[in-house]
Amino acid sequence: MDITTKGVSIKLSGKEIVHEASIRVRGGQMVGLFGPNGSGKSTLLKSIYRVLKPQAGEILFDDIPLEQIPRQETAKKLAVVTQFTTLNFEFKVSEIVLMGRSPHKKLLDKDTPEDFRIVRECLEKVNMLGLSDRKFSTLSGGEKQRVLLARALAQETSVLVLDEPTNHLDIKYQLQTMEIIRNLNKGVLLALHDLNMAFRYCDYVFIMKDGRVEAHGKPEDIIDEALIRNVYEVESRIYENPVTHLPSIAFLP
Amino acid sequence: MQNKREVTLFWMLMAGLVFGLILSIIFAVSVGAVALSPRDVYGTILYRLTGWDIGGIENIGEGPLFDIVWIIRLPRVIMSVVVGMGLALAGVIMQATVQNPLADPYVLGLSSGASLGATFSIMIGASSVFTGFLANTGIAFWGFLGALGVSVLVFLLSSIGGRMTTSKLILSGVVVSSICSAFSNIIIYLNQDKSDIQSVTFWTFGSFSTATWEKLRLPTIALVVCFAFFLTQVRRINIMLLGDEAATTLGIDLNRLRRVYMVLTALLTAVIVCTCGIVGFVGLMIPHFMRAFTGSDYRRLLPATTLFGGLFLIWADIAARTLGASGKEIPIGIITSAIGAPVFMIIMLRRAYGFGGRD
Repeated sequence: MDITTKGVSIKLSGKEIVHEASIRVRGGQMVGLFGPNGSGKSTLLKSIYRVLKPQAGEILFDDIPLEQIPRQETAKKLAVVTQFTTLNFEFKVSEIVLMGRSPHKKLLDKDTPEDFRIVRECLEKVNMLGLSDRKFSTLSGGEKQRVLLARALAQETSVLVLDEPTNHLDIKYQLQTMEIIRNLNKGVLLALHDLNMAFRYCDYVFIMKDGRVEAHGKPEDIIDEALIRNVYEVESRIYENPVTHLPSIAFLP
Repeated sequence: MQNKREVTLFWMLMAGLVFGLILSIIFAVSVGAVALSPRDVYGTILYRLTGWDIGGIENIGEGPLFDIVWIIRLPRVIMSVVVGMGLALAGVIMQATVQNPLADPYVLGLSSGASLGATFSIMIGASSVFTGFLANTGIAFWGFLGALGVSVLVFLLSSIGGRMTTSKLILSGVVVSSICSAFSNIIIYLNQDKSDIQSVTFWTFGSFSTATWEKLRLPTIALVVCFAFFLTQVRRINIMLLGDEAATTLGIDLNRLRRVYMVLTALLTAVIVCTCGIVGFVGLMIPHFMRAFTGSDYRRLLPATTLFGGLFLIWADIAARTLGASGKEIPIGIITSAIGAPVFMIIMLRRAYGFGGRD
């Protein structure tokens, strides 16, 4: 499935956070959304996963406007991993992941052995199967993040949206999470902080500044020192990393 | 993961609750100024319900024994069951609606709103204002308006300035509840000459002493309808508990569901308050107790809570009837508050519930 936003503008309490942003995620592509804090990445993502309604522009899933798709159908097409929050109610890890199956359920459907199999598989993918009976609140930040990823995987959607999935994670789990995501073979749209990730993981990137899409293209084509100066307001040098042979950014104070 | 042991435990819990409920009903009917033998009690009830004579009871189905069991005591005991179930159900649903385990019809002021609506309707003589369908439901209808008004008001007040936090929720509940009880008490004092207005004690602490089969009809219908409806909603409710954003991305239309749930809990609360006055804290503590056995999964929590609410209020009413000196009753709401308020405190002190909206 393709996701397209066309000239999306979003105002929050009178202030325009996103201004005429047009982005596109093609099926199977891994697309990065970059930009400094407050550039509108999360807000744009929120409009795609229907927590916010844009004031202008339109959002299309394939060619269908988002508002014409029932919410439960959206949840079968698009899964979301947001930053974890504390829960007011206590659930077990497996119970939370099982809720990822709910978009596929009618009101009185029972959980089937198939559902439990999918839950086990998804927990295995994120290396959390051993903790499936633990209480969610007793997990570390990284573990919580991976449970939420497992829940999104259990939705079995063709597209995944992630808002800074590697925040708060140790470097080990950052890399592990990114590897998991890349090997999913799904369309992925993710907001990220670290531009170096773009070269390694993203097929295509959109760079945002002050609510506008400032640049887009393949990471190696568009990310250069001038763009970084313009968007992040820091000096940098881009060099070939002698170990990974990927472009790498050195920020200069 | 499809944990056989948990499933078995759940059904054992349910069986235990149903069994306990039946035994408690029989016991509660046998207790009173005239002590009856349990056998006389269930013999009479069985005979009245099925026509089956278990034998050994003189004058079965008539006389003083029948009057005490069927006309005086059983309606009261059944009312305590229905009210307990209804309040526990209303509480557990409100907790999901506002995603906070401290929500309860009493704490958030719905009960006071309902009693304000009810006393107001008695003051203006609503039962003669309305005709037809509304004629009999006059008081309950106004109580419903009161409860619904309060739940909308509390919801809006606690959402002012962004996220709804626990402290804002509880404070809004206290404020709105105080306003409502002040006004309904004014109405009661100004209308003491009216024969159909109950005392302040009735509205503040509740009472089952006026229970009749006739009065049971409306609360029972409301309870059955709400219970059946919410049983179909448990999967959605579970998802609501994950928080607004997560629920939205899992395909839940939160705004619509919240509205429906708020209307139904207001309705249930109002019907109960109009029948027996305000009985506090039941909806708060019963779900809290049951979570220890079932966890937060509403597929188990909802039925278990509802049954346990009924069981709890039978025993609270037995206490109300028997603890008072020289046959004087203690109002039921005093018993539930004496138990419920400390439970409220315990929940509040638990950091796990994020009092003050840590997140």
